[in-house]
Formats: sequence, C-alpha cells, structure tokens
Amino acid sequence: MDRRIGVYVCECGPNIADRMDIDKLIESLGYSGEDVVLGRHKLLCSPPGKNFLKEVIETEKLTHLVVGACSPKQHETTFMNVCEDAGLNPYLFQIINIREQCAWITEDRDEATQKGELLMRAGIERVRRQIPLKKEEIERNPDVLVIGGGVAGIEASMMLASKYRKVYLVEKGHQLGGRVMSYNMVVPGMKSGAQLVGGMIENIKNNDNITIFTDAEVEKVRGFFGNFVVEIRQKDSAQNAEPINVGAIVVATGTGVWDPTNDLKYSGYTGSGGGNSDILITADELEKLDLSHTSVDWLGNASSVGIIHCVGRDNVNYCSQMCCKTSLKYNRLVRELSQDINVVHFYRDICMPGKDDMKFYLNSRANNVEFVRSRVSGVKEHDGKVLVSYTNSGGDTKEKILDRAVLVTSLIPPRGSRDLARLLNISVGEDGYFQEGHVKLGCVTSTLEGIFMAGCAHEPMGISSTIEEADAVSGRILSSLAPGKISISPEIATVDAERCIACLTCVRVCPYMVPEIGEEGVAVIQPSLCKGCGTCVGECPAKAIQLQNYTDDQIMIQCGSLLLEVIH
Amino acid sequence: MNQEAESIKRLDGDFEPKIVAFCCHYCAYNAADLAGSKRLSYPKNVTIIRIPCSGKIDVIYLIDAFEKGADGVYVAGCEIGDCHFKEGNKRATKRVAHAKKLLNEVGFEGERLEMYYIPASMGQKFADVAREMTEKIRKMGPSPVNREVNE
Repeated sequence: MDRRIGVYVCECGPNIADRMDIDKLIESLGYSGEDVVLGRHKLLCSPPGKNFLKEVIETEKLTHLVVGACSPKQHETTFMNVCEDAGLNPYLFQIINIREQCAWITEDRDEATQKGELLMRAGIERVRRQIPLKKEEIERNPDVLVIGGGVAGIEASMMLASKYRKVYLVEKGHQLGGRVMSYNMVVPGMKSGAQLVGGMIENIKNNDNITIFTDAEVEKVRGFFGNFVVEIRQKDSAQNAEPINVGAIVVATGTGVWDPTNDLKYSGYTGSGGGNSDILITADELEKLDLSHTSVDWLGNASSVGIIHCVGRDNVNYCSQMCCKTSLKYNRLVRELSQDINVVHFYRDICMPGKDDMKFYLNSRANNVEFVRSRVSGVKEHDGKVLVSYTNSGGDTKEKILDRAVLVTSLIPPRGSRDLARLLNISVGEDGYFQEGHVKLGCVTSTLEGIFMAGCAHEPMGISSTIEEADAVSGRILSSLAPGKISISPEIATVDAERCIACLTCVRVCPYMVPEIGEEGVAVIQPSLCKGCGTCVGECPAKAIQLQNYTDDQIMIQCGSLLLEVIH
Repeated sequence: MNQEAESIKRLDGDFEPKIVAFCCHYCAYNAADLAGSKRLSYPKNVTIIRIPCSGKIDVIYLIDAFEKGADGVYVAGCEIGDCHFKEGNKRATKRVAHAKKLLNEVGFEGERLEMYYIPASMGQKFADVAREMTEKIRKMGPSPVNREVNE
C-alpha cells in the first residue's frame, strides 16, 4: 500500500488559532504533491473532531497520522483511540505539541508559526520511521502476596482467602502472630496476645487457599499491578522456591521498638542482658517475661515503680500512639499484684483517645498512683535503685528514687524497611516508615499501584486499627484486582539476539531487574515485565537493544529535522 | 516593529542559538507544558524531544545533535531521588558527563552540553533553564560546526 500521511492542525478553539497563522504553517510545510494530506480543524478532540479524523483516515486511506495540537499528555491517548477505531495502527501516529510548547510560549505570531512548522516537520519525518506495533494482552493475576505474618498479615490473608483468592504469606520469623504474640496482656480486655490471635493462627493454618512461608523473605519482585513475579528465599533451603505470580502485594511488616541503650539520658539502662534488668527494663523486655510468675520476681519486694512514658519521642519526633496504653497496662498489672506499691508515671501528654481507652485511663487513676507531668532528663542507677531526674510542669528540676522502673519506648519502623522499599520500588518517608499513596485518601496504598500497606508498617498503631487497615486493604484489592485481561504497552525494550554480546550491562542497569541472560546465551527481556524506561537501551554497548517507538533512528531523525534551517 | 527588533539583533551581532532539549516524559516535559500553560515565555529556539526517561538518553543522540548543527544541547530529567524510573536520571547524569568529556577531547566546547533536573510542577524552572542555556550559548557564539559552515 502506498504511504499516505495525514497531517492535521487543530485550532484548539482560539487557543492555537489566535496565536499562530495556521494556514501559513500548512502552506510553508510545502508537502504538496507528495505523500502528505494536509488540513485543519476547529477542535479535534471534540466528538465532531474525532469523527472528522476517523473519516479522513478512512476516505483518504491514510497509512500514518500526524496531529498538531495540545500536549501528548492531554490527548495522545484520545487520538490513538481514534486511530484504532478507524483501523489505523495507533503507533503510526504522532501528536505534535504546538500549543503548550509553541503557541503559548510567545506573543509573537510569526515566531509561533515558524516554530510550529519546525515541530510539525520533525513529527512528519519521525512518523515515516514508525512501524506498526501490537499491544499484547495477558491475564490479570488475582492472587496476593502478603509480607509479614503478624495480626495485619493474618487478617488480610484471611479476608482475601475468604473470597477464594490464593494468598502467599511470607513471614521472616519462625512463627506467626507477630509482636502481639509476645504480649502478656492486651488493653482493654487484658487477655494475653496468644489468646487473642491464637484462633486466627489456627484458622490460617487450616486454610487451603493460603500458602505460608515461615523463616522466609522476599528476595526479588518484578512486574506491576495485576502481574507481579516474586521470588522468595527460605532460610533453611539452599535454593529459592519457584517464583510465584501475584497481582497485588500487601506490606504488613509490623513495628520495631526504639532502643535506649546508647542514649546518655537513660544511662542507667545498659541494654538487654546488661545486668541491671532486675531494676530497670524496657516495656518490650517486660513483655517477654512470663508475667504470671516472673513479674512478681521482677518486682521483688519493691515499694515503688516508675513508669517512664515517651522514651525516644524526641529522637523519633512523633507520638507512637501506643505507649500510653502500654504504660497504663503496667500500672494495672502492678496494682493487681499489690495495692501498696506506689506507681509513678512520668508523662508528657496522655494519649488515650476513644471510648474504651479513655475509660481505661480514668479507671487507672487511684490512690498510690501518681501522674507527674514532666520532662525526664536522666534515668540513672543509684545504690541499687533507679534515680529519675526531671523537670516538672512548674519548671522546677527534681529527682525521685524508685525501686524499679520501666522505660516505655517509642515504636519505630521495622528493621529492613528501607531494603524492602527498594525491592518493591515504593517510597519511604523521612521517619523511615513506608509512605502512603495519599496521606488521607490513600492511607493504605503505597506510592506504587498494586502495593498496599496495613498496620504499623506505615505508622504506629494499635491492634484494632491494624485490623481495620487489613480489612480496608482486602476491600481495595478485591474491588480493583478482578480477573480479566491487561494490555501491555508495546513501548518496551527488545533485544536483537544477533548483536547481543551477553556483557550483562542491561542486567546490571535495569532499575527493575528485568533483563536476564537466557538459555540462548543472550539477554532476554520479558515484555510483560519491562516498564519501557529505556535505561538499558541508553547503556547497551553493542546497541543490541531498542526501545520500540523510541528507536535511535526515530529520535535522531526528529532531532535532525528540528535542527534544519527554516528558510522562507 | 518586528523588523526593527530583527535589525537591532543583527546590529548587536547577536545570533539565535539552536538548542535541543531532551526532556523526560514524567518531569521535565510536564514542566515544559506547565511553562506554556502559565504563558511563561522562553526562547523559541529551544526545541523539545520527549523521551520516556532521561535514562534513555544515549551519548550518540547528543553527539549527533551537535553534528547536525545544534549550538547547545541539554538533557532534563526528574529531581535526583525522584525519578519515575528510580534512577534513570543518575544514569543520564553520568552519560552526559561522559559525552562532555568526549566533546572536550575533540576540542568541542563541552559546556554546550548540560544536564538539568526539573520537577514536573516547576514550569518556572523550565523557562529559567531554557533562558539560562540560551544566554550561555549566545555568549559562546555558534558551535564549531556552524562556524565552519559559515566561513
């Protein structure tokens, strides 16, 4: 079939028409008599405009189309769809930005007309080098990977599996249940963590739709929403399991706790196993003791216990939401053991919002319980006791000696968050927590489509909020990740096997770890995983890779045309 | 009026440099659109070629542009740390530095080539960069390729 390139300039109402001489532009392109059909239209993106384009493609038997109009960011897809409707391959089309990048940057009509002509000519020359490309379609994978087997991970897995989604749950540790499993009691019901989540763990183990990997970590993630390929490494096996395919990923990696060991303010605390845990201990360490017996041992015959709130708050620069509950929980524990022990809270603010938690706080206030609003400046050991120095709300510096004290530490992002973020290609905020897609409207989505977050992985929170988030994530996934087809853009990197020298450059530079050296001994780029950035293309020393629709030939022709003198 | 302006330019011995800007789709190209939407004027001689990511830039494109008569060339990507494709802009930075070195080695002023980082939301910065680059190249005069052609 003979080549016939349709070239149409959109007036965009007055937006382009008022700022350049479109007739002059078309005339000076000077393609008359060649394989080019020229024309103009009032508003090509309007329904009549689209019909007009469709008709000219059909009646003029166009093989290529160039439209001079707005930015491709605005209507490239619109016109590509018109091409498709009219039976023209949409990759034989160019939109030339003569509005934002031409008509709107100068008040001078002649200047705009001249530049418009230059841009159009470059587009026409480029489109001549374009080839038809085909969009591949693949099945969208409805299954889900959940990272982290704590409360959030278990809840999300159960919800998803209840709708017959296959779930792969990867837990770094040996057992499921996460941090909550180590809790001796949970506010406000004061049941143990194991009692609270034990049932959930039993259920998840018996669910056929859920595959659990313990002692395992995610090692490699490629692909996109609807089509992720994940490699999992299990500690006890030398080889990775077969890569699994999922459509979405839930990050539920839980929380870490701030370590006061090296902070001079808490010089009395020498770290876990430091020898003084009999008088000064962190909340996390206290949880790990079997409180039914050991706490009694730990308290010994103490007559006073200090509970120090907000430990590490000035270092992390946020309120961890959970520590007041934890502090009051110990208060309750001590009081249950003995009414005679004097409990002193060193607190800055009490953060116990909500209908149940506030009650819990009010019920904790009693005789022999002191709430000292203060800034603690030092916690030292002194004659086998704990010496707390503080400034009270009146500004006076004071000291208090206590038999025992608990440091209630801030929650921090779990270890390895940054590495995981890099692996998943999602962002981490300044505080080290995974960043939300939108702080309010997308609080369980990450910065990448298809990767969701629940629980403390992105913000310190309590168990009930964690469950809410896990349910919210499940809802989002079930509503957006429906089985069906996804079309894959053909604007991806392709390897010329003849030229590839298997130098591994592409393997190293790809930000998404897509290229591999295949069985043939040359680089293989899987179309469904390539994101089309072209980084490997720019670096390939053998020029064996081309990015479709952005080939060297196409770009250099466009560049060369732009540099031609326009002489009138 | 226009003719008058033209003649003043000629009297000043000014020349209008031809500049090609390779802009990444997600940031710099968007900033260029925004500059237009805000009606910020910048020199029309700066023409833009859209690439998916600044990491797509190839040393060959840069050298080729100079061979074909560009007086100045620049690559504009996202801010470092904010690249849509993770680190394409870092790769681009290295390649531009490499191309500069090659240009200098053959006695072709490497300063005619630059790398910029322009966030999608900064139309003003796009216009400023276009002006800055044009001013710089205008001071340097036509590229050695164009000088030879003219002589």
